[in-house]
Amino acid sequence: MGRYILRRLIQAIPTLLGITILAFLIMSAAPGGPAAAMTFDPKVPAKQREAMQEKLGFNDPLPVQYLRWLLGERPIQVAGVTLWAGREIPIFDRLGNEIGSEQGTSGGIIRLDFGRSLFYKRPVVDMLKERAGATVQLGAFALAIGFTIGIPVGILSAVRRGGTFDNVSRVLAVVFNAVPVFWLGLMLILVFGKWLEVLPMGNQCPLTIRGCTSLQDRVNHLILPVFTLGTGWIAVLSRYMRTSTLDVMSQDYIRTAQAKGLPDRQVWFVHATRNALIPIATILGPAIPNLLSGAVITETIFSWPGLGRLSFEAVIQQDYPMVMAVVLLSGVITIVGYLLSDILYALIDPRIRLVGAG
Amino acid sequence: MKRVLVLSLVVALFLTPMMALAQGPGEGGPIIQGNGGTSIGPINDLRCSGTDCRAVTQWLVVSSIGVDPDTQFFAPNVEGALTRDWTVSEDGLTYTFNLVDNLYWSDGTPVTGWDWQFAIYAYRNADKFESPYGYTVDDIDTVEVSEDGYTVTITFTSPSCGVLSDAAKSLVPSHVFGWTPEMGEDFDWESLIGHPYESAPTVSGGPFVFESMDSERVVLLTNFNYYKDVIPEGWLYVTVPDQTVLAERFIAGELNVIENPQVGKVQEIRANPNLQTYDYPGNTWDYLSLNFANPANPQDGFEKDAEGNMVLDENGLPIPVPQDPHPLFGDVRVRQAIQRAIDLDEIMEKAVFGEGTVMPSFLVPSSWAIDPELQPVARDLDAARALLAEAGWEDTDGDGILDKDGVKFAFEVLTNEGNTRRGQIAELVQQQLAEIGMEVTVSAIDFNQLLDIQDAQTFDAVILGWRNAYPDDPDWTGLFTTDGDIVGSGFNSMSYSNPEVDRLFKEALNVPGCAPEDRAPLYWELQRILQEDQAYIWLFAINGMYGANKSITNWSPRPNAPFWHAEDWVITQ
Repeated sequence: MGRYILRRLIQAIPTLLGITILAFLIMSAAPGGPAAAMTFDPKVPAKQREAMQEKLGFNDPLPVQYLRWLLGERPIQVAGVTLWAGREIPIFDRLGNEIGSEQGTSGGIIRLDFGRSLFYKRPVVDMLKERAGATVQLGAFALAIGFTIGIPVGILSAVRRGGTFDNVSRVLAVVFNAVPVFWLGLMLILVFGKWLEVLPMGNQCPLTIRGCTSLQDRVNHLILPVFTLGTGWIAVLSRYMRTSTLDVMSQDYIRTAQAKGLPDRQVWFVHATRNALIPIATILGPAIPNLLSGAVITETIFSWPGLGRLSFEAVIQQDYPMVMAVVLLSGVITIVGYLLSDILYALIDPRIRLVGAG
Repeated sequence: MKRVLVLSLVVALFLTPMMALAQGPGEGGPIIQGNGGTSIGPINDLRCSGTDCRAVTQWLVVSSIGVDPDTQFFAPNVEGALTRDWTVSEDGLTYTFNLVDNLYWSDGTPVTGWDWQFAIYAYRNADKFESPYGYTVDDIDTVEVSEDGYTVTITFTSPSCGVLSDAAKSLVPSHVFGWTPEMGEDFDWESLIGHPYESAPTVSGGPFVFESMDSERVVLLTNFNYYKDVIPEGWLYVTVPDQTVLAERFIAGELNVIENPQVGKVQEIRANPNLQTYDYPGNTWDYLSLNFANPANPQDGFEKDAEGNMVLDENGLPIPVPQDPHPLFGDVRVRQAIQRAIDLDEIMEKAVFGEGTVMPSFLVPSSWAIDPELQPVARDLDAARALLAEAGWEDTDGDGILDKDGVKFAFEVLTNEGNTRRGQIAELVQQQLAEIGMEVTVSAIDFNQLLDIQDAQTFDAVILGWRNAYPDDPDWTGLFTTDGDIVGSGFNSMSYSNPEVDRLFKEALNVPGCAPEDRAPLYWELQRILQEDQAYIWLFAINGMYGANKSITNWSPRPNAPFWHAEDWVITQ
């Protein structure tokens, strides 16, 4: 297993590089640019705008910009041999005239330096760390709700096939799958926040100077966004589980268990569930990156300070270092998610042996 | 017993508001405001790159020169500002500012002219700490501070009327950065990048001091060392990115102040008995820009020397280069016809629920320089048709679309996607121009792509908008002057050029003494010319509105100053 994981991780490196190249090309092809956005003011002389463009390095050829992002602006030397020269950054006076240059200091991705956000002017890594917690919290609870509600609902729908519960759950699954997240979020805010006044309308903590003062505060603020993000998962997982359970229920060993007189609950939730869960494992991996993308809207509606909103803002602001870091992070999460799926698959189904596992 | 009850009730009714008004410093409730934009970045005013950052720093900095919110002019003796008064040398180049001595940073250090000098020096070195505002000090030659620190003398390179805007800086505590007057400009300006002050600006010169900041909120608390008592407990600035949710949370009472809510919510807010509102003429305006030059052949609008620098005439003005005219809009009669075909009342009603004010020319209705006599161009379809006929545009083939020399009057209007207001304006323009035989297609595209096209001057028509700075100066050099017609980067992307306009803008900016009453007639003349020339198709300014929960008393906003004397607000919780 260990060798398998290691091999998969090594295989992930070219995949990640490919992702970064694609992302970089797409970003570069986007109209406008951060320098233009930062100086969108008729009073900024054209020469100063050009100087900022030059200083940020956006006038260089794309491959050079990409390599600089990857390898940094600081030289790379191994045993006295310079492998990468880095970049001399031009210095301009306040009128936009070049007056010298200095050695760049960023380390590049290879040295785990994602640079500094062009808009927040802070290290990208610091910002990702700050935001990751909120997204993980939201995503984990949403997924947990999806599993804890979706799977039992799916099993019960299967064993009560054609009954009222099955029909109602199927209708609800379609509804929750079809309702746009932004609409559902707004409705929940209006109903529970504005009209009933039982839950907060957004953010992580109460809008007081002191913020969160108890666990209850945090839980209250989680309910609506988690439900909004989780409904889609409840719907999807209940449908998957229903189908999967129906497959399993028609198998001989289930009939044997029933013939032995085992209670229904034991047959459904112990014997049938384990095998029915195998297909579910395959969607758990992709679910993790999907949560990040799904969080963009939920985080915006509920003013949740997570990675989804940060990525969205970065794209709008053409904050290249931030966008590239988020893309890379999403790539890593996706690869890890799929790897997790494979491992879970093997754990749940002993018949499956991963190639390369020792 | 009954009498006692009635008496108690009466006493309670009188005492409750009195008790609320009797709150001492820091005993009022917090001001809770939503940040409708993006998350908040570094909060060092020298490096702010957005309005959200400035929303925070406004409470922490000291204004070097105050603005009278009623007149919207720089004024002496504005409470809380550093300048007491100033004098101007005869040549208009040197301003001597006398400062007040009652302002202190929250750590007890006095606010002096050295802080002002630091700010100007910092902007001179703005490129070293990634600030885009270096241009604001381009016209400042020298800054000298008296020995006691309470007189500042600033010499400018030219006697422009924009110099006060250049000199007016929001001051940060220079001592926090380790700067001393002896260092002058010989300072490690790069140390401002990532300086602890920008994530925790604990030293304040305003009514509140920094308490904490995270990815969703900024918390400021009462500054007990402020020059006067500050009643509110603090200011809470929370990120609420969705505009609809922002308005709903204000209506529900979660937020207690709001600035310029979504136009669709304005009526609801105004009608809510728990809320108080303040309307003012806004400084955000939309326009329809027509390209005067051939989009297939964009060129810079002025003569250049061999090195590509602009050549100036004996009056210091650019020498216009005749442009290849736009096949439709190169003729001023066509532009005038378009203005007359547009029904601005209908557009305002449908796009902003009537919450707008028609602009007769390039100045917003609140500008001190607006021409009181100049009326907006009224809709007159007959006049529009007559102008088009005079220009040779007629529907010769009876298909309902004007044509001339075999060319149909058809063009594309671009606007930015995601902006429903501008999308609606574009659709209404399309419908209204169809009534005079113009075929208009509307394309909503990515904002940055639109700016690229606009900069490249390859468009037919664009609907976009501007938001004026505060205090608003009527100088729009660069936007309507020939020197701004630079392909790729100039803001005069429509290639409008009128030497008289170039001259008047320059003259208005260099009026000796800069008295508004002397400058205003020049801007009146400019407004008339720009209306006549149809430099833009003038649309409207969006009215501004501030809202506050009625739990706030002493709420007294002014145009562009929603927190005027917020230190006196009493907020009952």
